[in-house]
Amino acid sequence: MSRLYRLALRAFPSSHRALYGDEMLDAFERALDARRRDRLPVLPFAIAAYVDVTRAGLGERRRQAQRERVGRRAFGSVGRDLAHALRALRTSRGFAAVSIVSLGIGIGVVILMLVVTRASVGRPPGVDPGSLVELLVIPQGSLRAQVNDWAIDTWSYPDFTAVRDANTGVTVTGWTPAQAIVRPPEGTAVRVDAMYVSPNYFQALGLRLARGPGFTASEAAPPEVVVSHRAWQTRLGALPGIIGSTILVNSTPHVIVGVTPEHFRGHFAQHRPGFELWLPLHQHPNLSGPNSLRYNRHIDWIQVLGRLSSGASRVAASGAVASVMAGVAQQHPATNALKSAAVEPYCSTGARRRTDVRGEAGIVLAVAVMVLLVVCLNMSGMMMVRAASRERELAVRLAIGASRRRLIQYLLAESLVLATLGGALGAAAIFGLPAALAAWLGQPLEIAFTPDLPMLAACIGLCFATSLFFGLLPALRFSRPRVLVALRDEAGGGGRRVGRIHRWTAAVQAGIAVPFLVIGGVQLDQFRETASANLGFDPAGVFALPLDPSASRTDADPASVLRSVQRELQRADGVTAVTAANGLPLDMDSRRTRVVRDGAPAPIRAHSTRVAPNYFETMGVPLLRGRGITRDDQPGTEMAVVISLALATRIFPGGEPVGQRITLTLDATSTPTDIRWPSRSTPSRDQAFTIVGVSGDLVDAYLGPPEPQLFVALAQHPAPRVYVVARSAAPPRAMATAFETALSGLYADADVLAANAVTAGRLVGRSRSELAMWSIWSAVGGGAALLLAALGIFGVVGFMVATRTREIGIRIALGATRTHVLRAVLLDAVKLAVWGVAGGLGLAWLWVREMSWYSFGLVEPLLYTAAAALALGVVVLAGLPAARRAATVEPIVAMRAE
Amino acid sequence: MRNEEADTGGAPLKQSTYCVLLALGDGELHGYAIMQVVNEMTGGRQTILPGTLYAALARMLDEGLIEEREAPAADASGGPRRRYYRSTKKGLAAARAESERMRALLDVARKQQILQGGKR
Repeated sequence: MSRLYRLALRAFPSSHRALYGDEMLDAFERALDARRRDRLPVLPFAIAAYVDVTRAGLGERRRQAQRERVGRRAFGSVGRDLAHALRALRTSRGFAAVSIVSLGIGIGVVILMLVVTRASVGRPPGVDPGSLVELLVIPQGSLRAQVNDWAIDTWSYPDFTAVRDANTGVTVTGWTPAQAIVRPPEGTAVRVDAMYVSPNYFQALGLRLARGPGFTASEAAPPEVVVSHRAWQTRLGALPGIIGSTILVNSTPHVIVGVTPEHFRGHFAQHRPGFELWLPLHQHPNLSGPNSLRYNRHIDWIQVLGRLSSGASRVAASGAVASVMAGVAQQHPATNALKSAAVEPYCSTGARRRTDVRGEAGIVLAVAVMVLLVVCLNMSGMMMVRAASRERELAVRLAIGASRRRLIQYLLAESLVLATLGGALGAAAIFGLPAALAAWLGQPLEIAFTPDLPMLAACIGLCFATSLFFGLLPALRFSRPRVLVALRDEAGGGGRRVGRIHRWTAAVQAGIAVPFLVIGGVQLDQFRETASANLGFDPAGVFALPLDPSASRTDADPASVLRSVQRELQRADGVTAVTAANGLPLDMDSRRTRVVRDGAPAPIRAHSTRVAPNYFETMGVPLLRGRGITRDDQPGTEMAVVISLALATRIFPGGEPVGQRITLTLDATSTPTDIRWPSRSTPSRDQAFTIVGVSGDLVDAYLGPPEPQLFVALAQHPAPRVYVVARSAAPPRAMATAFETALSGLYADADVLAANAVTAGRLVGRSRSELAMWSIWSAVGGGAALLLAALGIFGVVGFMVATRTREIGIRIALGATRTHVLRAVLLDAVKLAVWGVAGGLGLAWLWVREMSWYSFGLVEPLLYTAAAALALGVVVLAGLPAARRAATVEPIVAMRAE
Repeated sequence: MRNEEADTGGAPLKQSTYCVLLALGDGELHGYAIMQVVNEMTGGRQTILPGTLYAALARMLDEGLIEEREAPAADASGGPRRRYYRSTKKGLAAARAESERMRALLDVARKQQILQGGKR
């Protein structure tokens, strides 16, 4: 009877038979058995069942044909596959959720990097880059070696005017960044970013001002200023009649002659949030007073842009500018013999850094793509597991006439759905979270994360590429299942093995997490250490005020301005000591100097600070030998240097350093470092110094173990920006008043300047929280790497189990216990990852050696053990689902295929 | 209710579909168990045979009236691997709508004294 029923089953379409045939036959046989048991007539039932199965089968065939017709009409095969993929994913929600989140991470990272790169390298709004060029000084011979760069982007003022006034086929315009204090008619004075520019600056950029005529070319005109749209809106009350009105800039009345267009921030991508004021270059303080740089060719400070005249070629213009500079070099060989010049095409990050920036952007994108690649490999592993468990279904499809192309399309549809959902999640996080954050904070963020058409296209392209990448390999492998084997065998996998590339990536991911975890721990330990460690100076009661001594309103030279401020400050209540320096401990400004001991071949790098007398007393740094920097260390006398104990022991191990001579390479001019301005390369020169004292060790620009340091006399090596430092028992408010009083006779806007005072305690706090942040970020990096590793291991071990179902079934049939199987599979997972983790430990060891860290004691081995244990623990957890699946394999499943 | 009816097309359910939904209730059953339950709940007056049953199950899966479940680990009855089924929300709503429709018809039958138990 069963044989007849099996025959009648053929009325059903083969796909239906493949899915339900066995069960239907089983149900028929059971129903027959039940009737026999109950002594009911069997034959009428059997006949009814034959008729029923034939009728239902034919009905099912009709339904299938109709459905296919409708499907073809409505969607086409792609639409049907996508709909099927969606349905299939809905039934395996866990797999779908994990895949979407991990793809979201991968695609999100790439989108984020694309957005950030575009924001930092993209053309700033309002600039017409067509024939815009930048003029660079090209160093020759030894100057090139000194600046260690192919070009210098700053010019001395007389060199700038020489190329500006020559006929070179370029309309030349100069600019230099600065800060200015604006006192609006209503409201308090503020310090804002400003730019001193040639009067033709806006024309050269191809920018039409939103309001006003712009600068008059004449230097005789009263002081003028162009304000940004933002400043006009936020600081100047958005008054419609703003043009022609007057505001105080650096305490001088300026006539407002223009407002820039709304989106203009500055001409470089890094000019953000952007400048608020543009002032005529001829009003720059450097060009007036006794220390005017108007005829000084030693100091380079002007940056130069230009627009090619119509019909002029850049190469010809470059030749013309170079020949002008050759003429200058003949007249002024002392300063210009090693300087040539070139006209380079405009680049949004500055022409000098063109190649660096492209390289950096390339590296950033490459790292992001690597992350996505790893996610893709993990995903492809997980898709393999999925395809392996559906091999039978695929074989059925192939058996009933699906082409291979059709099967690949069917498998890829699922990848596409996953990648699209993952991409949508990533994009929503990247574009949605900052917007939500900005709305919550109530102010716009610096980097605009607004999706536009090219960004949207990039996201969609990324999703397609990603889905192809992780879906293609499983689709290709499983689109030709060995039909007979697969149909006969429920064990899955068809005897395939996990690809080497999947095993390696899973191992590498587990390994990568280790150094991150170790470094996170190291930083946490460093944070703990520094909370109690001796900083080498006494931060309590140290107040510092950043100051530009050359910007005072008096005609006095900067050195005497600085001396008067110190003298005034000394008189304030509670002040016990006063000094000045071009940097503070923990100011996060690295000032590296090469130190060479006479006769020694290799230079040592040391952190340098230019200090005024009383520095060591004021900062609370002990002097171990000799003397500190004193009033006697003046220009013209012997160059004095105080070195720290760490430098002394490195450069004169076992010897007496005081009285010895060393050679230092200090920058000729020190410029304020600010990430918003392109860094400038300034020539430096070697000078011989005599060691006059040895100080105790203290922290340098960053928290950490003592590094070599040296202190030279500020009077012998003036710096354009210094800190005036006071030690005082007075409260901060009283000190702010004291600073204001000390500045009031010398500076306009003393109140605004005095508000910039910092305490050493705040610098210490900032450094500590920085360290804590780094610790957290390392841990987050390690956690993300572990998460990705877990997905990779999950895929690989899952696939391993899927392909070994029969073997496992046989083992169980032969007497292996479930615990045995569980243990064996988990051991395989650990074996898989252990090489990666070992490599990770090696990497962590090297990384820790690269860092300066106080403790190499017990904490270090403990950290390695914990990180490795954590990584392996995650590996075991990731292998657990597959191991449990393996342990519940029915031996009968494995045997039936034989 | 109107919406739920709209979901199932508002048309009367096929008898086999209705029987399967009633047999499943809010539990999970495999195919043969559904046959048994249908037989028991109608006191043997109605049987559903494997051909009709599995055609109905395939159709109902497509229409989203039922969903397939993982087989419980402890299924010691032997035989081929069995699929277990459970009504979806849509399936339950369809069964409810069909029952309402039946009750309305029964009320008519009672009123016309075709069926005993109506108003006299």
